[in-house]
Amino acid sequence: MTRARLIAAWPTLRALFIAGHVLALVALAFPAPHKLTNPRAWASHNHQAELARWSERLTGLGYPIDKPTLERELRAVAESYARTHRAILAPFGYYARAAGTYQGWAMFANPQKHPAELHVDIRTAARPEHAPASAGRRQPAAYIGVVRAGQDQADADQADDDQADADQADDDQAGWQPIIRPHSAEHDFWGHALRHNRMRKQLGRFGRTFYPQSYDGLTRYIARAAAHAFPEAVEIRARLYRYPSPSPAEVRTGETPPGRYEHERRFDAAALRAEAWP
Amino acid sequence: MRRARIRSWWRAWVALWDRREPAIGLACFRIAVGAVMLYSLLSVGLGGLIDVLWIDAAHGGYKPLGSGNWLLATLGGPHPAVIYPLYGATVALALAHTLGAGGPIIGRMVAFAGLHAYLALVTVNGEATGGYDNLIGNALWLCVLGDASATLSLHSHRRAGRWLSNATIPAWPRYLAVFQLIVVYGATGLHKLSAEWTPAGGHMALFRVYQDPTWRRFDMDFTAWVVPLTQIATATAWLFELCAPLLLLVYYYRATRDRPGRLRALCNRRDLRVLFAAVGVSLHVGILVTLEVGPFSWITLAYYLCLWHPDELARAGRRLRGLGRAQKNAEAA
Repeated sequence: MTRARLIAAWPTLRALFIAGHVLALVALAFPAPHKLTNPRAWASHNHQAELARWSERLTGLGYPIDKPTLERELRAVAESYARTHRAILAPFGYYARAAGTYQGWAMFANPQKHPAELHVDIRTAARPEHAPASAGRRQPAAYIGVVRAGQDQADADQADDDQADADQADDDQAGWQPIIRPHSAEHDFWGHALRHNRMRKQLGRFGRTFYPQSYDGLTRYIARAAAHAFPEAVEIRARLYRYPSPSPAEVRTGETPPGRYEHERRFDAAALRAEAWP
Repeated sequence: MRRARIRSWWRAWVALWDRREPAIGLACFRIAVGAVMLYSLLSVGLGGLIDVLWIDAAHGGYKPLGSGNWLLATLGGPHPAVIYPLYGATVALALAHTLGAGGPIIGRMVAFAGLHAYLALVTVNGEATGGYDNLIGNALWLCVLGDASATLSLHSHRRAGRWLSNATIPAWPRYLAVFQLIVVYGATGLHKLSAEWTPAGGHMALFRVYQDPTWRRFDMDFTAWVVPLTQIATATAWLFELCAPLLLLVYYYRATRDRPGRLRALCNRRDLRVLFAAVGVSLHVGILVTLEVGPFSWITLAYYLCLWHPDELARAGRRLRGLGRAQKNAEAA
């Protein structure tokens, strides 16, 4: 009897389930709040450039609004959206976890206008005498660009940035050789790995929402691989080279927009070689 | 009056999901999804990236990964002793799913286990996952809901001694696959709020993407000489995605072609699914050629198989076979 009733009710139950599934997909596909409210994303070069552009456009269209005001208003909207989204999504979260129906389709939503390339170099000889003292700040730890106790990561990154700027001009004299440059057949160490789409994803995120833990981990990992692959290396350096995306005219004339190095990390090759390596 | 209308809508809704169709449509989808899943997994394994991506820094990876999702946490977290067997099991499940091992119950269990094993692996490193992982997961769930191994499967071969069977299955999992495709495109279109996608930014998004070394396969500087083409491609992609939900209307008009209405008649003059597929396939081929975004295009194209009724797929298959035969005969002559 129960079975017969279940069979009779099945089309209705199935229709109800499908209605729930369809609602879940639509609700889950709305922009994820954590992406809209992430302070790192708001602070990124790309986001700031986008805000500047919209403020310019809106002002041009007769709605005068400066960038800070636009940002403040959009962040307020994003916060309130996040609260509403969380409330709507709550019942569907369990279904998404059980059925794996996660949605998230922000694909190339905001193309990168300030790309960041990972550059890795090795220094193979002892630093010449004329090299600046700042370039030779070596410490016993393998990771030289270490965050000291009590120091904020942002301060450390800023200090590293300043350091990178100061060192940049003296690279050649200091004996640095590039081993990783994107799309370079010549400097292609670890290229097979860095070209994999999942590693590209990670590298792309350095240019957007920079998480120091991931960056420190990956640069150290690569540095350790480089220390073993280049026994002559005495020091390894990883940096992000950020530059404004060139305009079509700049590409055509071969002009390269000036960029700058960020988030420099240095590693003592001998110390890395002494570590266990699979 | 209103109650009667709601009741009639509900009856139509219930009836819509009660339809059945030949199993070959969902079977083709199953094979395509399994193949993409295998590609996604093997590209990591053969590239020697399991240690790097999915193992915690404490055991040889590059970053602390936490304990992973519920399944991985239950198994013991991103430790080599867990990740390697899990990887092997997921590859085996993907293979079993592709080949259609197991009948209605075992086949569904294979898809369900494959779905959760795959998600446990790929979500452990949140900064190295992509939209294609979600799409693979969504597709596997649809294979759990439908009887995807009823034909073109080891199961049908073992049961009836032949790969193809005349079995019919519920059509609704395939309908939901079409809906998923529409959600993907519609949502990604709505996400594209950057001025670069819109006329306000001169439709420069694609040009920008090609200047970013992260995704491009090779030097794309030549695009600076064909900027209008990239602008057209940007506008096409953006409008295609925003208009994708209209595909629901196309299906509705096709299903109610005997009713009156000028717009319905206009829509039914041509098979607009072909136009949708032509634009979509062109965009994905463009992505495949120029950008390395993993198996995103492949898994999206797998969903395209669900745009057509299985009978239409079978007819297309027969036509292709006929063409091949005609060519062979011509060569022999």
